[in-house]
Formats: sequence, C-alpha cells, structure tokens
Amino acid sequence: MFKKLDPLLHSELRLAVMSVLIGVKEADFNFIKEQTQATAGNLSVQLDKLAQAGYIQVEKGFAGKKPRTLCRVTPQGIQAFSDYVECLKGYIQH
Amino acid sequence: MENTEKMGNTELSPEKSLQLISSILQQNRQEISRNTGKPFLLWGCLSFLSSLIIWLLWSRTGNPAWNFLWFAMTLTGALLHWRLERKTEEGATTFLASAIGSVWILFGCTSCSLAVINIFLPIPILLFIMLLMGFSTSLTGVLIKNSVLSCCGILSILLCIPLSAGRWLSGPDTLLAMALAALVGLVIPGIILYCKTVKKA
Repeated sequence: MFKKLDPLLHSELRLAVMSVLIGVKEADFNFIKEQTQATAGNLSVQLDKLAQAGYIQVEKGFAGKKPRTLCRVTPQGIQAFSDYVECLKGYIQH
Repeated sequence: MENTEKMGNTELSPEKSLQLISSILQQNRQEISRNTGKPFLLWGCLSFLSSLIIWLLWSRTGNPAWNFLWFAMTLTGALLHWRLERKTEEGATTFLASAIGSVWILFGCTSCSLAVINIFLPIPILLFIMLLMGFSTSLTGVLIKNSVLSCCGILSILLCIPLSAGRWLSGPDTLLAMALAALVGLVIPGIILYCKTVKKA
C-alpha cells in the first residue's frame, strides 16, 4: 500500500519553492521568483499556502529602503519534504 | 529553471517531481560557485601586490617594520570585500556559502592573531599564513566540489617545503615566496572561477 503524497507539496510550483528553500538558509522573494520562473502573483499565493501549513516562515522587512520578503524553511517543512521524497522513492521503486 | 515556461500549480508524476527537485538542487549548487571567484581575485591580487611592495621596501631599506603594511592591506581588503558583497547581493544565503565565509573569516582571524603573536614571539609567520591559506583554498574547493581549486590549495601548501628547504623563508625573500603562494593559492583559482562564471553568463 502506497503512502499518499502530501497534496501541498505535490504541485509543481510549491514543490519547486520547497526545493529552492531546502538548499538555502534563507532566500528573498525575487530570488525564488527567478529560480522558479513563476509569476509574482501566483508565487505569493503559494508562499502563503506553505506558510499557513507551517512549512515555511515568511518575514517581511527592508533591505536599505527597499521592501524585502525573506523566506526560510521550518523544521516541520524539512520533515514534510523528506517524507515526500521518501514516498516518491516508494512510488518509483514499485 | 532552464525552461522558460511559467511554473504553475499542476500536479506532477513521481518521476517528474524527483526530476524537478534534483534540477533545482543542482541549479542551487551552480549559483553558489558563481561568485566565489571575485573574492579570491580581490584577496589574491592584494596579497600578491602587497608582498612585492613590502619586499621592495624591506630589501631596499633593510627595515622589517615595513611588514606593518600588512595591517593596511587587511583593512583595505576588508573594505573592498564589503563593497563587493553589497554589489553582488545574491538574494539567498546558502549553508555552503556561510560555511565558506566562516572558513575564510577564521583564516583572517588566525592570520591576524599570528601577526600579533609575532610582535612578542618571533615565529615564521608568513610560512604559517601560507600553509593556512593553502588549507583554506583546498577546503573551499572541496566544499564547492571544484578539484582545480583543491589542487591549487594543495600545491601552495606543498610549495612551502622547497621554499623552506631553500632558505627562502627568512628575511625579505619570504615575501617573494608569499607572492608566489598568493599567485598559486588565490589568483589562479580566482581567474579560473571567474572565467567559469563569465562563460556561464
């Protein structure tokens, strides 16, 4: 019996965001946008969903005079991502 | 991402999910090594030029006090490095970049401590600094998985053996050895990394 894939991570953009954040300490909105090639509006919505689930932490601040949104993955997000990858391996092996 | 299509909210097959994860992780690694070349070039050129200038002054005047110019080089380097960091703001802080930064900060702190120790206790300070520099370069190469960088670091460590055997590591000539170590351990790796960055761009 296969474990169900986490629906929150089983979406192209949200998975891409988590993959970007898992490899860094923190990243700003523009960096994630550039890496995922997503639109600002869509990315913003997906970041909110991940933050509401507790997978990422979003911090709004300033870099000099410019507004800056910083995102970092939470321990809960790391666990969810690692469970998701384990599930994927199970699907592929069978 | 290499494809130019905007990423949406579509569900993925397990294979495609794993592919997406590994391609983004790979891309992240490339991003990290992108700007490693500039600090190497900056510190390498500064060390190389300072070595030659101090060698010239020390050998002409016979006064080793010119070595205090190293402190001025450190301050200039720190200032230029800070400006460089501000210019090339990345948008993301990686664990690897932090680790590399810590290695070089530790190198800087140890070198400064050695310089202060040398005021009270005569030690072959430049030999220690050259060994530490080679070690830090190799470690950076290992961290970013760049074998050329690791080899340059090891080579600059190995250079210390013939240099000390040939009595190059005493008096003003130590500075020529330092210039050579800076060239092998910092300038050449910096040029290689910088050329890689330019090619990718």
